[in-house]
Amino acid sequence: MTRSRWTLGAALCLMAAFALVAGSAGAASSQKKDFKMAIVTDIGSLQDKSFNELANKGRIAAGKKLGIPTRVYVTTKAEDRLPNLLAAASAGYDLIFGVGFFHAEHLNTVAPRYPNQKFAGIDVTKFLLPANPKNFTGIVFAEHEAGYLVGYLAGLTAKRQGGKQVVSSVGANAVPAIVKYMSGYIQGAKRANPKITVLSNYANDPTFSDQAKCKEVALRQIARGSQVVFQVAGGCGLGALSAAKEKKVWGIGVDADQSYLGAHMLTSAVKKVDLSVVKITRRAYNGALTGQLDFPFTVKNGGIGYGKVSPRVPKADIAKLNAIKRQIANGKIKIKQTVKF
Amino acid sequence: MTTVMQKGLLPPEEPDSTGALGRYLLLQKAGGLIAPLLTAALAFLIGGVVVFATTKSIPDTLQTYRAIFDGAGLDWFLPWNTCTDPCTPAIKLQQTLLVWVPLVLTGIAVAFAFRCGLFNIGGQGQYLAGAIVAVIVAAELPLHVDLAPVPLVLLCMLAAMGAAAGLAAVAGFLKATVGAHEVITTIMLNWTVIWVGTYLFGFEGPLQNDQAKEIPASNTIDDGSKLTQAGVWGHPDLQGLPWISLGVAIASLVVYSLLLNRTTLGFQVRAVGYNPEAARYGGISVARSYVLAMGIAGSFAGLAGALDVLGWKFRLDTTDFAGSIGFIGIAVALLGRNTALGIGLAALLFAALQTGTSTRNLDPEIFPPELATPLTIIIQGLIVLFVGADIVILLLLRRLRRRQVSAAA
Repeated sequence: MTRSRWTLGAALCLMAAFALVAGSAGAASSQKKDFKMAIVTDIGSLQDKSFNELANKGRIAAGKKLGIPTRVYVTTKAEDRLPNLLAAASAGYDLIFGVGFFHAEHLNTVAPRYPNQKFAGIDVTKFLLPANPKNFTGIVFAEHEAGYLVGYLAGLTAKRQGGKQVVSSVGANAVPAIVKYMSGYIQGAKRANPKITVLSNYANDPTFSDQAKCKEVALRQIARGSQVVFQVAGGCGLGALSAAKEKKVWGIGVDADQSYLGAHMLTSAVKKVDLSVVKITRRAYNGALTGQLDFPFTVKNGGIGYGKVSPRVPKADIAKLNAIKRQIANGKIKIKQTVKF
Repeated sequence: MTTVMQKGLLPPEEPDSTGALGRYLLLQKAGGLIAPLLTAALAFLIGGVVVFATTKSIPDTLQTYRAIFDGAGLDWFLPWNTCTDPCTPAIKLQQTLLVWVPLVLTGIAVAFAFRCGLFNIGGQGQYLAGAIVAVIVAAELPLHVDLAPVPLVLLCMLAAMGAAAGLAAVAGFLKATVGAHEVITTIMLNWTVIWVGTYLFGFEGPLQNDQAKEIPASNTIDDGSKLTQAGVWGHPDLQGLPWISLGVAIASLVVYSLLLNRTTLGFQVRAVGYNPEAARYGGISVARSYVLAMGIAGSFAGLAGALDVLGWKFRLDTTDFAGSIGFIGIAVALLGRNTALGIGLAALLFAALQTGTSTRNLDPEIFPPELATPLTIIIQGLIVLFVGADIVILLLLRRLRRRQVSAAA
């Protein structure tokens, strides 16, 4: 027993060492011949232009890079989540992603029942799983860093344009991810211009899809002088961006790069869900996914950033933004996860 | 009353039954079993064109349909199909039946009102009202009172049925008193329920769960109120179908049939459905029938909500309010011709379609998973479309028959 454990441990060490060497070369080594991975998306579709689509992109990329079979289980209604996770688990997938925090409850049920397979939850911290299963890894994003970056650019832009010096953000609800985005935004804007006023309001839309609610909030903010509107509300937030377009002020997208929405888009706060899927899959593939911990994605490891910047923004501002990004990455700028607003 | 007003007083064969609904019911009677079968077959045929457009070959199209059939677990019924443990077809069939249960009940909810001449679009709201009340009773009550599992489960179900019945009766009452159309009122009530539920269990809502404030969901129900305690059918590692749910669904079909065909109330409801004026003339209180029919219809949908919560959901989150089980119930009732057997079979068709085309059960090698969900919606939509158009099929059949008769003469 002890002996086999030792061998296993030694093998794992070897694998890890080999993975490090192979990883730097960029080539995938084949540790486990029949490794396969699956993702379970959340409500919405595979063509939702954000969360689910990014996760699926990550799945396809991981499959190509590592040369492993992958499969997507699509959740079309709340009733699908549990059977999807169970189907993936009983089909023997070695690594299964639950995409979205609504999976927490079901991961808590399913993961302990399949101890030889690994589970990961995107936006699901391990604290949401009371059973604390050994084979679960949480994937969390430092949204406050993305908020800081776009807030900084918003502050710079307001300064350059002159005027009332007001920027704003529209959140759907006080969910942790949204609070982090909005807190970072305030700190970033103040960094660019300490005298700036930052309006932060919630639309109180639990469905995350009622565009009218977010539009109304954004219109009120613009009436109070907001020059840049940052949407932090998923589908609801598209209403905020359309308000920005109508009133000819800047808009900032969230999660995915939403620059395609039009010329009014300043940039987007980007959360690289696809990258997280690839990275975690590679780790599990190399046998280096330990479980029972949260894997953070930050500016430092490239999991968080900003999207395409409007061509109307001068090069000097982008250079300043990149300098800030480097300072966040090497820890020179400390950003609070939440500030009062 | 019963003895006086036996069948025949309001003969359903009466050709001058007024209103589109009356004519429709008549024609449906004439069409028998042929029209619904034709409807479903036609929908699958046109759905096949869509599959053909993606797979680009006829054998692949047939194979896709075979995969949907297998994906729904229907191959479990084939006598020559033996499977070893764990039995995959059984696991898939159990998922189909898990959807079948609420579809049967919401189908009855639509059909019962339909037989009274009311179009109950509120199945979804009534289902959700039942689910909300069941989850509240099952999660909150055991914290205050100590109850044995059986009374607790019964109480949950009764409370859910009562709430849904009350909700639906509001629409019936408005129709009976001020003539507000039930299509409008039930749709409005759907949204009332959705927003009440979202408020209750949403962020910082009064009944949001105590464990994780990041998640907009209710508390999980008490272990004693879980129907799975009494045993499930299917693989224990996978979400099982509680025997109780299956039994209640089948019993509901029987109750529906008996209530409608063998009781005074059922007779009154049908009489009002055929012709409210004649029913009124015959001494039936039309207003009372409207309220009662809607109330009873609603209680079936509410029971569906309770069974889902107690049977396998165990809690509700805000995304549960975006479901569509109550709306598919309309299609079930229409295709099933408002008869108990028809509803049972139509519910099986829709449940099998949902499970069979889901990405977890449809083999990704045969049909691309990105298109599986749209395929479900396409076939479902086509069936609903043709169910609406089955009157056209019936007219065609009748014309054909007439031509044959005249040719023979």
